[in-house]
Amino acid sequence: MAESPVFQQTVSELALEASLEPKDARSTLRRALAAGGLDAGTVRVGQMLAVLRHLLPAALRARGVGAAETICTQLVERVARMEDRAIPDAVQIAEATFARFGSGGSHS
Amino acid sequence: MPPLGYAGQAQDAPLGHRNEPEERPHAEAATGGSVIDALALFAALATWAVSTVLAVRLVALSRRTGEAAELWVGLAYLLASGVGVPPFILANHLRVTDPVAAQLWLLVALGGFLASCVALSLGVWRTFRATSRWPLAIVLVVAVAAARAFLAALRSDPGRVPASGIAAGAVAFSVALSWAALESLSLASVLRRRASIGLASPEVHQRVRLWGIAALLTLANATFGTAMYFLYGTNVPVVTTRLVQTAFTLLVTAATWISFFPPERVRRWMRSRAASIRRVG
Repeated sequence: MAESPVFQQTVSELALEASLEPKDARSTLRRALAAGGLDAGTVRVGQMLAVLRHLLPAALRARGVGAAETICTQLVERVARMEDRAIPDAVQIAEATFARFGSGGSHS
Repeated sequence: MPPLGYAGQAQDAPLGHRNEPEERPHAEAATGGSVIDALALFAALATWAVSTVLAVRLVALSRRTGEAAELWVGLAYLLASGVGVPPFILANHLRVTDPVAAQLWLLVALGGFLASCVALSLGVWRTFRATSRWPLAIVLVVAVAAARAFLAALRSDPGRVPASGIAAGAVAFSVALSWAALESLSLASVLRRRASIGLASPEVHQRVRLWGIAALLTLANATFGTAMYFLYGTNVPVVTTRLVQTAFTLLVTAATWISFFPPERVRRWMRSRAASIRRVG
């Protein structure tokens, strides 16, 4: 599957900030995305920010990268400025559909 | 999940291979039969009521939203319970006094159950894979198998449906239910991970998971009934079998209702589970 623009740009930024080979940065980020139930083909800016805040620091520490929190904070600032393009996300569509099922006259 | 293997079928075999009353073990039936009959009837009525309410709400929702997912899932419940269960109960009551009418009602019930398998597979497609076209192949498999099963029952004498017809019905049922279970449990797994970082609703995660569990329990119920039939033939231990299947039916009914319309207390529990997921995540 093709990688989303946000994923590709974040890989480049991560490789630069963490002094990683691009392929290592790519696999680290992919693993962090998978831990958050996301994939490289459909990830968007908001989702990437959540991964950078909650999952990537531990993934970087596991690779022996120092100052993981600082690196992630810098990445958050850069990713937040990236252009966000709408990409169909089958999981979000399914979640919205199932959420709708519970709205058929029910409270909340 | 449509109650395709509801408790009332326990004394019956798959698709038309049925035990006649005189073939049942009288001792076991006499000791607990009436209580079990009452429990099974209660489970069937609860299932019917829950499925009918769900069906009406989902079909009404589809009229407002114009979306196919709620329409097909709603029709699956309506066909399985609204169309399937009352004729099935009627056929059970008539099979001694009026076997011809019983067979006709059984065909109506079977038609409802099989059509609900097709509707369910369409609902699973539109709910979980709305952007893909490959699920059409699964829907076609279910539809062809369901049509074959119904035609086999239509052309057969009562209680003499050929093995190929029974197998076709089993394929329609098991493919539709397995697919529903697989899709909902795999979506629930992804939603759990997303919920751990605040990217998905923890409540929807739990509801999708419950729907998958209901599908698995429905499959387990049908598998148990079929296994008992093949193990014991015409000497199925009626009380034990009906008791187990009634328990399955009640669990499926409760899981189904909560997965669609969880009470406020359950919603609070779901949110507390979400908090623990976040701590782990």
